[in-house]
Amino acid sequence: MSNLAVSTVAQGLLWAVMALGVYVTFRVLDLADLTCEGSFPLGAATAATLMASGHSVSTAILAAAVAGMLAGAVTGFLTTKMKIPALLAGILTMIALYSVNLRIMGKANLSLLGVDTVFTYTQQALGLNNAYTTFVVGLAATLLIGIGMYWFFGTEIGAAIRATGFNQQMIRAQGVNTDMTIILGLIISNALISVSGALVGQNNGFADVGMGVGTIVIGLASVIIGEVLFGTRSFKNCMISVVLGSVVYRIVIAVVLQMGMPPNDLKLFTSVLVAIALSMPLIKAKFKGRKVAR
Amino acid sequence: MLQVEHIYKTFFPGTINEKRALVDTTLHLKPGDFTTVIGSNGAGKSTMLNAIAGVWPIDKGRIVIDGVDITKEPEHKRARYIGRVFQDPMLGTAAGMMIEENLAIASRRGQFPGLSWSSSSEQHDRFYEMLKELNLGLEDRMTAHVGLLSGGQRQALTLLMATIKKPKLLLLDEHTAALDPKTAEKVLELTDTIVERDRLTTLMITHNMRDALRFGNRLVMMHEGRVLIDVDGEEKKNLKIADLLAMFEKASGDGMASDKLLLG
Repeated sequence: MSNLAVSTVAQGLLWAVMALGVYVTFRVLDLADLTCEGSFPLGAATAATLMASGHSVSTAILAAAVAGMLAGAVTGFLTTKMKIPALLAGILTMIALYSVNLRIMGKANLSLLGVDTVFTYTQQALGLNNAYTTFVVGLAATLLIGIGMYWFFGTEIGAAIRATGFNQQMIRAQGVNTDMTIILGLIISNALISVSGALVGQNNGFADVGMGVGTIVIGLASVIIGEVLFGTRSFKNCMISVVLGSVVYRIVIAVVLQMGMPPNDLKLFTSVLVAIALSMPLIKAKFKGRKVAR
Repeated sequence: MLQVEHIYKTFFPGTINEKRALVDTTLHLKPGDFTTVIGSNGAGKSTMLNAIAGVWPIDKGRIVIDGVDITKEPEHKRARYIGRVFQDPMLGTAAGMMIEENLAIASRRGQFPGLSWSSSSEQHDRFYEMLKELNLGLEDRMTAHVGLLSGGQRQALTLLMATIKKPKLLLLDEHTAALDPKTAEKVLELTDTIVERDRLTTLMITHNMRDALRFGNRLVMMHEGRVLIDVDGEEKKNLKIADLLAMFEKASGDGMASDKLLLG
């Protein structure tokens, strides 16, 4: 395979971790959480700052996960205990994180030039080129997190979180505190997104305070593309769909860029894609309704 | 088993929409009492059930279940004692989860969820037998999403979920009102079977006076947020709809009210 193809798929896998995080809030909990726009660069900033000051890669990624958890917990607290609508709670945390991220890095952009990352280590160990190294790291991260998620959401507490997304009344009547399950779901989601940010930051070779713009839309695009193309039969099927959706999204992006679309239009393109995908059920229903009427 | 003592609940206090839903409501249930609750719209039937279930805090009064004062406990903590079936068949189950997963959650009602795997093979066999007893063919569809079931099937499943772990109190809030007459009858019979078998202390709201007379050993009629009529034992057994209406008119002093009761 050409390096471009491999590197496209590899990017998809790195971002799939983020897409899985968005899946946890958007589909499992059934709420749109905008915290991700801040927790993605938070992960990158935390990891980059620690690594630049000589800490190990594993410490850096772990710290990114913890930072993401905290961000999710703040949004969870605001929306459950303070009754702020989830969308607004996420926006508040996201905006606050912009300042937090600047504080963590001390500046808007932190370069990892000459700093050892998970990618340089893997490259040294396996002797692969850049594209294949990214692919290996992305695949390992996605598999590890995917299996962990599959286990967790099959446990009693995981089942309670999933039930919360479907029917809060039901799970409360079964004795589960829905405030707790919502907060927990947001913590897990943002931990995943933050780890994804840490990986993407290392892959890019820098952390930037603006790198989170559009995270939610990319996440949604991956979730929706995956669901449409690869199905939603079971929880496992959904997770695999989201990962593949993230890969397909990267391929689509690579193709349109190759075809000459200016990179500046990328976010516009993605938004339009997601908007169309989200309106599909209504458009389909209208179309069907008209057919029946005839 | 259940003591509801002088509870009050006013919605939207101090506004023009102020509604005094429960006024000095008192009700004591003995263990094993299967009580049907009737009353016209706005009589406070559902409000009383929601007060017991803890959907919102009450203004005044005390609620005790099996000697434990639960007045200040939140809804999810009260679930330790209470099994519930709602009027809306959508409310009792998680639509996007499998029948088996819903039952697994219900079998742990009131326990703090842990990190062990939610479904197990021993459970599977137990659930299979229980579903078979419902006679709806659900035992062969245990991995189907609940959203694919009909309203009647969902209510039967919710009933099973509410009683799979024997509750101290079973609350049925017009759980057959949204079903067609034939299905409603089936679910009512199933309710009767389960309540009799497990000797469950039960409060069942119904709009149908015939059902209220047919089922249970006790009948309560509510009016304007109070318990107006309360009959049990032999008296309840021999009660006719005409008697009930006469009692109601006498107790409420409202000749027109019986029409509301019948039509409401």
